[in-house]
Amino acid sequence: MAETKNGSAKETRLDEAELARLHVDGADYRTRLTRKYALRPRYERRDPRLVRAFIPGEVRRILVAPGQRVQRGEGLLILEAMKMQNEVTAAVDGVVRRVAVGSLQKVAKGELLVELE
Amino acid sequence: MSIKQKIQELVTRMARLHAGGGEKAVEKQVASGKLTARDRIRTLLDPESFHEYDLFVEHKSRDFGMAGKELPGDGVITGTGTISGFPVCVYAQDFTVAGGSLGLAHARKITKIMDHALKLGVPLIGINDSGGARIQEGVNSLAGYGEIFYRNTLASGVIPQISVILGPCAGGAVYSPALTDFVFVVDQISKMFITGPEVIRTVLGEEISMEELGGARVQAEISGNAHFFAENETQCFEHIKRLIAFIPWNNRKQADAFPPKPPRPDRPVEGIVPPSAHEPFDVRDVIRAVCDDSDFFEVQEHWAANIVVGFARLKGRSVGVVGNQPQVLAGVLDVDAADKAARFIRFCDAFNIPLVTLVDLPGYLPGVDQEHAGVIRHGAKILYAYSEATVPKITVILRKAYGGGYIAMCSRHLGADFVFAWPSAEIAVMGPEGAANIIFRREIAAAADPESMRREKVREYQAKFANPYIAAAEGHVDAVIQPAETREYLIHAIEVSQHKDEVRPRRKHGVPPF
Repeated sequence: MAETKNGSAKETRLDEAELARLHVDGADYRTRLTRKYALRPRYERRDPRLVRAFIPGEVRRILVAPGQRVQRGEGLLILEAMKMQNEVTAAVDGVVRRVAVGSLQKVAKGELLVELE
Repeated sequence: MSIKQKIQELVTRMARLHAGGGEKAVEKQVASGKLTARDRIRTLLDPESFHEYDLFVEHKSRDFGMAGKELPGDGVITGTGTISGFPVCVYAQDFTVAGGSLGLAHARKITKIMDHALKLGVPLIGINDSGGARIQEGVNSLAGYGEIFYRNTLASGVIPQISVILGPCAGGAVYSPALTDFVFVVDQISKMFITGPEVIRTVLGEEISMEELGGARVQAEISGNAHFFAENETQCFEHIKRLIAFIPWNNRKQADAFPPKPPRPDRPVEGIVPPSAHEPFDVRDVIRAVCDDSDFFEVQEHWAANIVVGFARLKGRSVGVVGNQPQVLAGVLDVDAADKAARFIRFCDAFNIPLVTLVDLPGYLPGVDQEHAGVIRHGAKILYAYSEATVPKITVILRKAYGGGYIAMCSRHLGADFVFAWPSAEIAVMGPEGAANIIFRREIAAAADPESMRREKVREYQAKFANPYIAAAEGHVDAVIQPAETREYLIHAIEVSQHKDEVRPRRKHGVPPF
């Protein structure tokens, strides 16, 4: 964090090494980037066949097995989080290729649970 | 008993209560780099000005071994005093007494001093240092919080409310500061969060320290929950004293005028802004070059630094300054910048502080994260806040004012009273590069040397549109002024706006895109 400049009449010098380029509407601007900007999440297109944990929690029960045909909206497993038993469902019709987690396994947010094909 | 004996009894009772949670607890408080609640009030207020009330208040809880348990002042000190002669109401939670936990009596002391502040029309300063709800008091403790939040809301825009976080402030307790106008935090001492590291670890399996989760730096730089960051408590109190001098006691008053002082520029103002629209500079240098004594008191300095907001004086009168900051993210508007500016604009408008806006921005920040974070509704906050404000609004366009950014930054169209532009201003629907690429797409594509054709067309557009005169010809800009004349024009504009009284249609309240 920069030193506080409150009340100072001194001109603030730009540190050339800190300057990056930011592209806005066809033009490049020389400027500093913020930590928050540098750490912003990159967008990734979601593959609906890769079912991931929408919340961190514990897998309570697995409802499907590899090779099983599932329809859109059908329950795949029960993920317990924040004292709620959440049914994780298929977003598309498909066949279960792989169940990537075991029963009673703790999972992080975004972790792969089930793969469909 | 003689009157002397009775007085002696009072002195003895008071001394016992003044000792707070006792020697050991006080030692622990001091050892952790914190002042005691009583010393905090003494340091903040003018010497001898503090008058305490409700020292003898006691809790009435009986459950879980609370019966007969003596909690001096019920863990909070309340009273009135002055800061540089300005009257204030103040409360300070005493962590040495039951961890500063909030029970019903504690909360009622706070709501009583809040009611006072509202009736007296003076600022309220709350010093927070509390472990949270007093669990033994159950739902009564929740009732206490709710009654505080309710009053924070009723007092919003009527009296300035200042929260000072000097210890933990967790769970529901953080919502009182969140409802107030300015939140002060101190490095290593302030801790604010809704759910703590322990819950996050057990429920989510994520390891994080209290400091990383909700320490002063996080709140001042990442979340934007805090407005002022200080290295230590003494510096924090100095910041509060400075703030109090810039703002009025209540919404029916003007901020006190101070003796006018000329700026102390270290170089001519026209030397600050680079001629190329792509080069950065520090907009605070422009603010300091035009305001009294070059004294600019920045709010939320570390968060959303692509926009700068803060207080300054022009010929002794307080103004709120909003400026795009080209040296950070090129000064673009984004979710956080719009949020920061809108809140500040609404504070100034509520408390009769004229707004000065300095414009130099390429537009809105492009990005999926911005769009998905709702830059549309957040960006709309700045339009709403400027349009809604009825205080004098003066805009100076320093350099770029393109597209939606031009409109948003207190343009004539959002009700600016005066719009001035420097000769370096470029007021156009978009930047020359973007515009040329669209308008001359065919010519560029068909050219033998597309790159040189593009450059030529950019120059052509630049020559025609990248200036203040087209907007001035339409009357969207009132005057094109030399940079060196800026201070004089601003002072004059504020002087002639002294009696501005804009009446809007009657309504209960607007519905801003919160």
